[in-house]
Amino acid sequence: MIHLYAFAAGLAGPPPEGVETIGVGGVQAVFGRSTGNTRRDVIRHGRVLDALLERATAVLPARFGERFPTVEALEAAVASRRERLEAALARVEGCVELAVRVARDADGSPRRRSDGREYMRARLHVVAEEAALVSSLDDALCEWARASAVAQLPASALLHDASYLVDRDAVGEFAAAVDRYAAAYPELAVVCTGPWPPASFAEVS
Amino acid sequence: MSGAAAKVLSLHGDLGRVTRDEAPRRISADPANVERGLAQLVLTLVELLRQLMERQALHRMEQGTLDDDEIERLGDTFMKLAERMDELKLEFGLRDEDLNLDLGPLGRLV
Amino acid sequence: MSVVEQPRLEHEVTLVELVDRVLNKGVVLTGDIMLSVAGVDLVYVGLRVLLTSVSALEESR
Repeated sequence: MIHLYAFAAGLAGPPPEGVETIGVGGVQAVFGRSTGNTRRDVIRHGRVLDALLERATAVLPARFGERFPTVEALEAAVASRRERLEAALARVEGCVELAVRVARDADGSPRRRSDGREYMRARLHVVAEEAALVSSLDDALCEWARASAVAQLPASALLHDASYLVDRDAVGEFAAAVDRYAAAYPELAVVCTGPWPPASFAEVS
Repeated sequence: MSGAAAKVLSLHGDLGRVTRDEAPRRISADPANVERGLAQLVLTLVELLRQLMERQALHRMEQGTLDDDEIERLGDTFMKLAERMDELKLEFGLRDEDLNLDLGPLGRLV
Repeated sequence: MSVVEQPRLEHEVTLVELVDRVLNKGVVLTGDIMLSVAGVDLVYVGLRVLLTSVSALEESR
């Protein structure tokens, strides 16, 4: 079985150990031949993606588990989607993904009020306040991002859980914007991780 | 193959206040804890529904499509439900963090 | 709290998020979603878990 790691463009230099590539048009399909399903394999998949991020100008990560019986089968699958893959690669060209999460102290949980109306008013106030906090951060970060993907969190302690597609050269500015925001709101917990290969922006229509 | 590049660009805030002191939660299949595990699952779903419904009601309240009477009754219901949830959590020794199960890929599909 | 001076904490946080991303994000061509991967805990995502990793390791110092 063939295990697909990712698609790439502008791949330079030797691939990592145990990793092969096959090209179809402007698309390099990056694969391996061992198909285990352990935690170790999952981590290796991630490490290969990291290595690709350093060697290619565009990386489209494949979700773990994309398997093909032969290299020819993989090649055929790529050929039949070549244009869409080339477009998807162009969308993430020169970019990395940065993930930002914001949490608030659990004290924001609903409290007993004198009556139902008071309760609803108080809740509305909290919801509006949180929405404002989130949109001010998102606005500041979108200034440095090509695109964003925000998780919808109907019920969570997280106020914001989003990924941003950022040009490599803009990573420093993006990180500085996160730091400024965190400094402005010390009551919030803010985590920024990355750079990741742009898996949240790997949509192939 | 490269090693782990430092992936945490920044970490801000009083993280201690939103963390737990135990390993992440799973649904327990150990017979001695089955009841607690079931309670955890059921209460998680109830809490999720409560929050979803409350959000929807708040949205309608914002839009002005609820009259005062409805707002009062809804608010009263959500408040009482939240209180009952607190009691049940106490009964089963569950904390807020325990009612935050994520279903992995399924969770994301929903 | 300056955790970035502690490489081991970062490593732990990174692995959790890496596993989550690899399992849940990326191109899907074959249409099969991996629901069960031997030895990998799928109920294991989110800021809370990242922070848990941080705090658990903090306390173990």
